Amino acid sequence: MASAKVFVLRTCDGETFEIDESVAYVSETIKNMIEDGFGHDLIPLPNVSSKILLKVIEYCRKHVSNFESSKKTSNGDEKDKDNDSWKKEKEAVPEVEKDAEEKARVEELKEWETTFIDIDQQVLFDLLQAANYLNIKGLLVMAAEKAASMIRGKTPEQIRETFNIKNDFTPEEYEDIRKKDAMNDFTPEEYEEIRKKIADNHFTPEEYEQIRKENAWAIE
Amino acid sequence: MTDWSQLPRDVVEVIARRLTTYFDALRFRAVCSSWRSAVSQSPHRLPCHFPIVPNEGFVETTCGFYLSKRTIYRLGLPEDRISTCIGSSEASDGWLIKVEEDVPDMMHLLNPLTETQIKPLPSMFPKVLDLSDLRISELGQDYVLQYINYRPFVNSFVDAGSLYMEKVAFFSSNSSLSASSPADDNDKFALLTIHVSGKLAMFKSGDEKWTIIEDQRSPYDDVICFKGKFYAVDSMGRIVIVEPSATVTLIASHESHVFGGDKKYLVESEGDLLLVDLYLSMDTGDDSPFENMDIDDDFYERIESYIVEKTVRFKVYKLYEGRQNWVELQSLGDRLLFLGDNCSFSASACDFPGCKGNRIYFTDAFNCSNGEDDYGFKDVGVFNLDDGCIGPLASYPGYSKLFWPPPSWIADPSAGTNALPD
Repeated sequence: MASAKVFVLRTCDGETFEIDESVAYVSETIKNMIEDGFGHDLIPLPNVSSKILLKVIEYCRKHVSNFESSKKTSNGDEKDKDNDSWKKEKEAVPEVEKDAEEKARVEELKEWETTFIDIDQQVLFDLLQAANYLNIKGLLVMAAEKAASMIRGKTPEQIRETFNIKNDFTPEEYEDIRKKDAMNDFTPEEYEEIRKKIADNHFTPEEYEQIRKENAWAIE
Repeated sequence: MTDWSQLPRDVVEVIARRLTTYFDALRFRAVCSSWRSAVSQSPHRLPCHFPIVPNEGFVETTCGFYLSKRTIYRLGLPEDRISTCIGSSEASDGWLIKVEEDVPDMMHLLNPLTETQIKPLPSMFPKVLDLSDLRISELGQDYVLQYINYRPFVNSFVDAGSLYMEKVAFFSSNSSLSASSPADDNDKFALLTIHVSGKLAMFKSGDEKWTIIEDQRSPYDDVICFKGKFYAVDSMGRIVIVEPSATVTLIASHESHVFGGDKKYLVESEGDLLLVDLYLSMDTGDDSPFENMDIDDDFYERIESYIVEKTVRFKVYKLYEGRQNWVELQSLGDRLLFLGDNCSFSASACDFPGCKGNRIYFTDAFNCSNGEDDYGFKDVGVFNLDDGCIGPLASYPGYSKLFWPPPSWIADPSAGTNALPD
């Protein structure tokens, strides 16, 4: 009755989580830390909160159990059987399922993924950071796809609203500011406001012009 | 407080790679400085002009082709602007257009179904259309080969006349990558088209000449690139997959081998492959014109003006994976199908208020021209799958407005923005 190896992770807010070795190894970062000998005590994750780590562990556990059941239902060969020499490597599940069981497994996974990633942009932001730091490719791609789905079809202004990204200056505003600045016409409060705004990401007038051109059609 | 503009660069890149259309990638770069710099290349556009393709095996007078790419878009106002445009009935309208980029940075507007260029544009139409405040969805792309015929003493190829245009299905290994990564020399492409003989012809990057595929089937009616594979349908309704090696595999056919209508189309709708069968009838223009006619020498010359081939109906079939037969679809639901001269695509009726779904737009010669040049829309018809009614676009005013005239907000897409003080 061998017991699977267990590791303990500690988040930035001091909570600890126990996970199996197979689950831990889903994260390349944690895997490397363990292989480098840091697995005996707590593995500290100073960049990850407990709320997010819970989500991450949920993903890793699902990933492991899904892999186990896929080995049983499919023929074990999950590679794309298509020998079309142009197909580049894809991350997708093979399209033609041979078994009803395999088909059901894939369906269930899709449903699970949809529910799992149905999160607001704040949690999504943290999840992206965590997946990147912990080097969990599948989770990163899933979260990135969710972000992309919130971007597709939107105007730049709508995208900024969705993600709370600060608005840019128009070239006129910027020109105005430069002029005023040269004449030192600002009150200290105004100046503070402007310095804060400048610290956020804004475009130079040249960039702005270029963006305008890219986003317009000259029609004949 | 989450600040998405502060996301690490490599994470931003992963997100950007999920955006595969040209406009999504472009808009991504216009959000803020840090996102822009993470996607450092200009969004890659597929080349519209290919080097002159060798024409051995083709018509003698042809000295090559250039490939023309057109994209079909639906333009609309974003939701928040629709709600502020109170009183404007056109605020939620969508505009369906096809654009071709011939000269870099200069777009041509085309009739989405015929090959007519929308020209000259009305005087109030903006010379530069600012898209940054519009919602843009890409509905499809179509490719045509424009034959370049050699005429001595003419200096430029484009000038030599390109009367013949043939639809091609186009596959590029680059299309599976994001629009934000640049093309490189390893990108492969393939074209599949229907030769004048009715056989399939294929050309792949690196080939020296076209390959005419010799398979003993009826003449082919249509080709399509669907989910990364080439499909073709012949006039008997047999559908095949064409591999890069030019092998042809039958994957479905109709139960009865004599199959229905006169022309077959392949079109994608919401991830499914549909086959549309068009039925023509030999129709006499007026009521029994033959009764009182003298059969004289002139009769056989005049006969063409009396007998008109008209489209009378369509049937739609869906290809289900794993099944050998096409299954007839009784209804398209909310979907609209567009079957043009060299392209086919689909859309959702809810994107075009005023249009009901379950209709097919097609091209036909209606002979009801009233002399006005209306950019080719007189040759467009609508078929209603609900009740089988069919007729020219002019008979259904509500259905033509998705094409022309453009909604009034085109004149100034940024108008009506709520400029509330902070």
